[in-house]
Amino acid sequence: MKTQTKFFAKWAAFALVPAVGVPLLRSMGIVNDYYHQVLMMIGVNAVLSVSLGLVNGFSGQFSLGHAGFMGIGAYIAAVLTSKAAALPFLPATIIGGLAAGVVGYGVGIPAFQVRGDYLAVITLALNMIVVNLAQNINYVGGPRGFPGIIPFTNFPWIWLWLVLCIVVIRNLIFSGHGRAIMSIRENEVAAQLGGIDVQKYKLVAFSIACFFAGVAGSLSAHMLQFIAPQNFNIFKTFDILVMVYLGGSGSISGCLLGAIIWTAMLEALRDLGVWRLVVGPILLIVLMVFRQKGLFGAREFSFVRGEQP
Amino acid sequence: MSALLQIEDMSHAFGGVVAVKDFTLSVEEHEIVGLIGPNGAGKTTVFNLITGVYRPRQGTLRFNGSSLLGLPPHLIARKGIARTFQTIRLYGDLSVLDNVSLGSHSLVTYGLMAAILRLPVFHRTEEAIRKRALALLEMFGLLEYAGVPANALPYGLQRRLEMCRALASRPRMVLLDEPAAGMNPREVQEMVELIRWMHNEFSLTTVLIEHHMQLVMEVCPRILAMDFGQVIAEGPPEYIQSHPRVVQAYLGTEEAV
Repeated sequence: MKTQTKFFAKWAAFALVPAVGVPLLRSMGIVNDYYHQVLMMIGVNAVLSVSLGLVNGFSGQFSLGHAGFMGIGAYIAAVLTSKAAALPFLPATIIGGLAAGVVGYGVGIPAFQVRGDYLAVITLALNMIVVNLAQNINYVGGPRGFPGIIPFTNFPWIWLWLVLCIVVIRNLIFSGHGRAIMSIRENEVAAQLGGIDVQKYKLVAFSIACFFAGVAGSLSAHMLQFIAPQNFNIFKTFDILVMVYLGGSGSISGCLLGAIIWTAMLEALRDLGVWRLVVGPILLIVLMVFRQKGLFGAREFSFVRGEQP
Repeated sequence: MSALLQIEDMSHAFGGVVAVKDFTLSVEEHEIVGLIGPNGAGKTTVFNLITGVYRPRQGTLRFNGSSLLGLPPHLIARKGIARTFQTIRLYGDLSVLDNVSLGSHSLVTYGLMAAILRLPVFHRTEEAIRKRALALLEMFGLLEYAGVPANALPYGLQRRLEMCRALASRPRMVLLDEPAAGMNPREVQEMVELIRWMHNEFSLTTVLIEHHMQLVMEVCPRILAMDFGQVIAEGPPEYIQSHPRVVQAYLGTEEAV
């Protein structure tokens, strides 16, 4: 019981200290606007990478369209708060996430009917569809983008969504359902013949991941106050994939770390201009040669894992 | 009383190649049946047809009185049929304990929300699954490896773990696909004892594919010999051993090797 209280206290601290501390430090002038912005970007990217890690890392499927789902959430939430209606931030974000989740579910049904890499092809196609749709719908600005989104996003919002994302995925993974999700990655045939509804669990993992991608889209739209179709193209998807594999795809902590390192590194290398887009991939190659499982492998921070058997 | 497993005139072909033709088998409750035959005779295909990996083109397939035709593999498994594989298929990176817990996945009756919100029913159920898995591991002599990743076990223990996982689903029937493949004589003898013990301890019905003649002859009172997708002989070990077609198809080639 005592360890449980301690564990809970650690989580409460993890959730609350940054949510309160960062705005406090900012008001004191210790964290300047630039660092604050970087912190927010790290948070949004962390939601994206942790959620993608559920699919590509834990369930062993390969989604290639995470930015597409992010775009769905971003556009829908932005329209709801700043254009068609004046919805508050929270419901708009949830609706954006749900929309992405439902699309993910719909895409997942045919994709998971067959074994193999169909999910990659279908999600890649979906990503292109989302970008092209956004480019061709004049109501949301078409290729010019969608300006004037109310700047609802602040650090506490991002942080609380990130904590929620981590808690949901952690509690799912360390449960009987999570075991089933990982068994698909380990040996799909054995899982199926062992009485596990493989298709159901692939859909569960994928839909939850898409939901959080949509949420991250809304957070990012209300942070940047402007979204354009190319923000959600395949390059953004690659960015998220890099974060996942950099940190370690089979670990929540790894995905988290990947988002932090990758985002901070791209910022730190800003002086290099276009060359930073060369440094990053080289780093990735080096990592894949010397440490295929990513920096963290399948390990977890102790506060993420907790008292698991 | 009707048999637990009833297969009649089951056929299956891959493209033009007939893998199993007019296969008929009925297995009574608590029977041990051996399935032998040279490589490519269609033994594993029979297992794959029973467990729903392939759908039979023709024939009937009934388990415990109801038809299995058209059911997806996971539902067939839930009817009480567990199997092991010719090439070991464990959840390699997961712990030995998790492997066995996954065997009793049907006990995971709490919903996704109960898991995410960590409701009491989650803790209760997981504790029960864990206890059962540990008890099974102890019976199979694998308790000390509970926390080890499955692929870190030596080969013989991986075979053992696969059987332990199969039993975690509380099956009525197990299909063992070459459980003694790649084992030395001493290990084969241990496997004989393990299969016998399992069969009685869990009051199972067992169907066994094996290349080790010694094991099949020792364990199975009734044996089916297959060649080119068809049953060529059926009967007790002595009968099979002296059956001319079996000798020609199977034992003959063994002698040549």
